[in-house]
Amino acid sequence: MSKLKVTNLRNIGLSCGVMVLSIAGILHTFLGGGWSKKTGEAAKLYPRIIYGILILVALYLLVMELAGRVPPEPPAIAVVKWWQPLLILAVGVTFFLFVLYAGTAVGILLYLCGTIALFDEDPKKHWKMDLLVAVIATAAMWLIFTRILPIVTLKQLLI
Amino acid sequence: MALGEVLVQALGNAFQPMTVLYAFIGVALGVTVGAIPGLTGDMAISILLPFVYKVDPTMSLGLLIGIYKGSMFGGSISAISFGVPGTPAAAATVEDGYPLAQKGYPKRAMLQALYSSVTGDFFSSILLIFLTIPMGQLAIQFGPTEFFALYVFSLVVIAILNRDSRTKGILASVLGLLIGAIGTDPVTGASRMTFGIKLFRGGFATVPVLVGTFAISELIIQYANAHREKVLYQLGQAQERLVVELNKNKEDRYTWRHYWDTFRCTVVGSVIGTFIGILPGAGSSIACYLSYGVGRSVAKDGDQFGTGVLNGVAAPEAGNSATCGASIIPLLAFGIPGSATAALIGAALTMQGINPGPTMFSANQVIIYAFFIVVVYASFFNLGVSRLLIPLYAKISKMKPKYLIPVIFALAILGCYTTDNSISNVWTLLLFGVLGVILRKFRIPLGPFVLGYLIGPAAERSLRQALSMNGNNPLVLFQRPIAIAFYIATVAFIFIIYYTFKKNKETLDKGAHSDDE
Repeated sequence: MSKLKVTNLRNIGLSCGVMVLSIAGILHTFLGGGWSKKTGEAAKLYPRIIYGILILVALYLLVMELAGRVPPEPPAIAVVKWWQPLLILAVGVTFFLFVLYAGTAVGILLYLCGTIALFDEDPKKHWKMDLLVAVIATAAMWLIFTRILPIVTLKQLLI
Repeated sequence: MALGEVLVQALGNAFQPMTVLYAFIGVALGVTVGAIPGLTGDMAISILLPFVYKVDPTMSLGLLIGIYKGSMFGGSISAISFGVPGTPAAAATVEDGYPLAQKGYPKRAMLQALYSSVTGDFFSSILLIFLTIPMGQLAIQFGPTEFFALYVFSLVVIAILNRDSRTKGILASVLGLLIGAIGTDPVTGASRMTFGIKLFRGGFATVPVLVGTFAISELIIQYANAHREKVLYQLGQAQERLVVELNKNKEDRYTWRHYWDTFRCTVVGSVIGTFIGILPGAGSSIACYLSYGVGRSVAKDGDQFGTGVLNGVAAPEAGNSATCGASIIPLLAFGIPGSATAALIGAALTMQGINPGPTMFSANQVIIYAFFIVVVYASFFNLGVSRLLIPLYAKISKMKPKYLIPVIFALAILGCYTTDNSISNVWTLLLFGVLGVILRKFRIPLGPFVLGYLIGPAAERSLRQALSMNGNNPLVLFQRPIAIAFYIATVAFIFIIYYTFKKNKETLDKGAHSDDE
């Protein structure tokens, strides 16, 4: 048997992951758990077709990778570390909940001050400009989201 | 309504002061956004979606199409000034634009980019006006069988036009179909693939999916870039961008002679860009590289491409801008967007109660004709605004992200929430933002993913209608002549694309990894 020439391990993981999830998805539509129990066969046909195509495509990618037929792929967006999307997610959720429940203007201002300082290479040097931009942007967004496109908020403690 | 009456009303709509102002603002904003690396017209349009749905349809279309057109040229500004394309569509412009600027002719390069861009854009806008209605009238005769065949053609085209990996293009579009299937069955309304999760019950709203996939994922990447630059700065290793200054060389002028000498490449780019733009899912970045490759073979100085020649700027710029008008043609005629940006414009129309597709010609004639007029004058705005403000835009392109990223992120979250004051929109937005990053990490293209998500429900509806009207006989899908023509076109297209990509492999490989880097 000729040696396997794998160049992109990431694609192996992707193919296997897609196949496993798709097989699980198809089985779920046949075994009839949860939503699948209450839904008719016609409605389940389309997801089954999609899962089937996903399995075939993932299998093809896996076979091509194992045969060394896929050219080496340089890492994509290597600058993004695994924790950064989660951090942004957490910042987004916190920001939104604060605006919704605590105060629109205060929430936006605190968020902008914090994130601009985070991105600034030298926050101690540029704090005046950063604060000015944050205040102006807060005023503009407060105007937009309270007067032009008002957001429905719950009882807010602050403005 | 008689055509004359429709045209009069359309002219009135199109030349309302607010519509003209919105188109003007759209162009200016589009060029600004395109000039700043990391920001794209897609991002700007997706962020503005929640804001435009309360505005008159003609005004909002003027704004969005202005952004689309402006961003196509805007990307060339930073491509020429400091060798970094402002948008993926300007990636091929760097090849000759930056070397030409380094030789001392940045203004000439930018003006070449502008005039070729406007020419390509104008060419496809005229075709938009003359082709949309006949194609729409043809589409009225389509039944579910024909529509299903058209959707199959679109999905195959979307998938295989991915330069990086055709397998991943197919994977992306099928994943998009899967996401589009979550929620409720479009025919019976039964709950499907919800897995007991509340967020999945009604399916995912279009706006947060689009904004999350395009804008939030890009913002996460920009955040990571900014973080890296901050770390480098603190280590004393930050590198300043070498920016080429305008107005330093007195010989740096652009004349009609330059335009005429590059006219052939401009026309080639315009035709290729229009053809690529009409194809569902094919974006401007494919058009720019294909135009560059073909332009190299037809230009007299083709062997000097890459050293800083005007033809090397003319072809890709005409190509990428020609996709603007052309990508709207299938959107209006069939309801199938020709590009991810056209998909966003389609989402804006849908939010305002106008369903893109053949039925809109009978229900919304005035809006369609007004839109055609706006599309044409927006091209002239692009010419005028950009011509005057090129030096300003060159400065704007150097703007640091520390102010932009947080503001855009906040606008995206709150804007999505205001669409229907639903908290689940925000969760969907953030979820798809993270999903967009994951897809990009695996080099799964976002365009086919989003188009699969948008087209999927309609494709399923057509399939099930076709089957149920004909006793669930699958052979009915292959019995109608127009449907058969689409299947033959699909197969022919696969061969044509395979041959074209093979011939232009070297050029296209350079750009294969330019997106998502």
